[in-house]
Amino acid sequence: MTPVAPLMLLLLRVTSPCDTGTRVVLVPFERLALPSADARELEEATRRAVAAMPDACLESREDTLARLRGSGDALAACGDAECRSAQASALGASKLVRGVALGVGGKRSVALTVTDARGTEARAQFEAPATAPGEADARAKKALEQVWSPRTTARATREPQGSRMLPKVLWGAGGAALLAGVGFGLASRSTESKLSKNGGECATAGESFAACFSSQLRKGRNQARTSNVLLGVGALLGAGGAVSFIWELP
Amino acid sequence: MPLPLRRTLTLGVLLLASSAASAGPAQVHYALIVASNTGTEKSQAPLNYADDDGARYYELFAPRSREVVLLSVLDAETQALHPGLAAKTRPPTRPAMEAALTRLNARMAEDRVKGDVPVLTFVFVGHGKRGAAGEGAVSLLDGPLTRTDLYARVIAPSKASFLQLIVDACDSYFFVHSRGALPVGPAYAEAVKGLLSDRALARYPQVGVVLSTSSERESHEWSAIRSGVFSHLVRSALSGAGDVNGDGKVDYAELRAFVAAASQGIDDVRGQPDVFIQPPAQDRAFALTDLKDVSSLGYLLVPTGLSGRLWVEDARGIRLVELHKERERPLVVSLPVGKGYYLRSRGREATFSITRASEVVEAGGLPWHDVSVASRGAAQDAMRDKLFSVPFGPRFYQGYMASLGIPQPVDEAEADAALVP
Repeated sequence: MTPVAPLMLLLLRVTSPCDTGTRVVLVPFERLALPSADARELEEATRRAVAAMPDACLESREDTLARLRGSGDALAACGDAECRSAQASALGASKLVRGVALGVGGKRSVALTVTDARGTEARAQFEAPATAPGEADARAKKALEQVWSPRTTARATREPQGSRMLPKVLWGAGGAALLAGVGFGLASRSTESKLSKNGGECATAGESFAACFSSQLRKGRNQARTSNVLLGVGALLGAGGAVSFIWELP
Repeated sequence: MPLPLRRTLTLGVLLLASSAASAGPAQVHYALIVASNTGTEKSQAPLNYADDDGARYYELFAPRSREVVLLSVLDAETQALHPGLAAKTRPPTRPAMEAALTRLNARMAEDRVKGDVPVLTFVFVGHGKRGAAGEGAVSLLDGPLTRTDLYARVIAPSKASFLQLIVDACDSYFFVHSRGALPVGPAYAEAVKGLLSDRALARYPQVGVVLSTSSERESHEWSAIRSGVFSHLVRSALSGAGDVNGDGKVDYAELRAFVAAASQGIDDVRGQPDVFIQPPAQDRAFALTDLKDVSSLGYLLVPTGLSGRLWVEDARGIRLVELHKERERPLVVSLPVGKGYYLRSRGREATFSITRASEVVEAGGLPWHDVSVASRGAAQDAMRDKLFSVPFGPRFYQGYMASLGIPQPVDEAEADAALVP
């Protein structure tokens, strides 16, 4: 029987208010160079931070311990994310949070590993000064926020490069449109300026002055209209780029 | 501001903060390292890496000590590997050693007046020899330092509350202990264990000893790591790899088990470091090192699940820490700040750096890639393959201690700890 199998059998016997899509299991912390009371304090701070994450239904410590005890042995020591992800699935959890509480170098800190049942994994750390009670909660929350979004994790794993292309394209096209619009605007202004000075090029046209003047006027108006359209398109593309950028934020 | 000065100031601030924060008497650490490649006898060929070991002990102890003195003549290669260190050294002579001891004792006496607990680590790396009368001696540049000298000049006048002797030299057992009626041969270290209380060392219960008693030069140094094998094991253990129970401390029993595990796979008796390790009688649980102490070090966390033979090399190619980790527990090792490192195992490596004091780098998140390792010949292959071939962890430790008949203190009961890997 694989190490995961007893956990799966146990899962069938355990009732929990959380559904599989939102259940988060936080495994009791390991500790290094830190008294157990301090490690427990840091674990509780992390539990509170996990519970505050969006779409997270944190299993109580008692339930997690009961399930682990019921499984008859400890969680197998996985060597890779795939194995840990399988453990998360076996526990019926969307995420599995592990932590090591450390007390090295005169400082308390926590190293967290958040494993998604879908196979992705992220790591975070935070320091928690013993002299500032309550600070651990804030730092745990901040550390978790950096790794909690499944989209962020997946992107970091699968799309190390080339992400957020749409806003870049929109901004590029918008910038080009704005530049062209400014160019047409300047040309229009130049035409207007020339015509305002005794008819510009049409001053020597003689009898065809009126036709020349009308033609130049039409040309200037077209330039102004094109400029306005391009500036508008550029502004819209820029705004679209900003919206898509914000939309893709984790 | 120059980097060394900034580091010194940082360490000073950290130490001040530590002493202010802790309520009990604070341990204050000092180290005197004597490392000499040359022997006093014509028959003693110069060692290659005693000076390297001295330099590495210096780098190990400096970030966690108030003062470290290195008495050594570093060769050209060692000076190139440790830029700036040569300027801090003095030659390994008797006057230099006595001057250093006088200064350190004065500082430790002041510490005692303040209520602190000064701890002196005395390290010797180099040639040792047992004389005709059975008295051991180690080689300084200007002559031998005999066991009588050791007691009269180092141990007896010491103001340290605890004195840790680390001696990596041939026949170093006889440098600390008198021969008496002891048998001569490879098994003498085992044979003398029951007689220690009658020897001179028993008069100094504050003294702990860590001795290499190898008598074969070819087993003493390993060119692949530019170091003596025993000293490499000791430094690895003291960096944190020897902490078997996760309390952050490496005590004498853990060091002994670590060395035994690391050398257990070596079939050739000449390659096995023959060691004698005894804690101070005054406090047998006294730790050689404590990772909890405030220091200017960074840390590598090797998490549960990552196992096997691992070693950390820095950008100079110096192997700082080596271990064979059991899978079912996490481990943390300390490393100097401001350097780039390679975490290596057979056939693969991962790079990382530590940029600030107390920074923790988690090895589980490092990107690994495959590497090819050049072979260095049959002897090197044997050492490479056999050393650290046995995993070290609670299972080995408990079995090893049970085999020695040494009772283990009941550890802090922690029901939850048994549930996690």
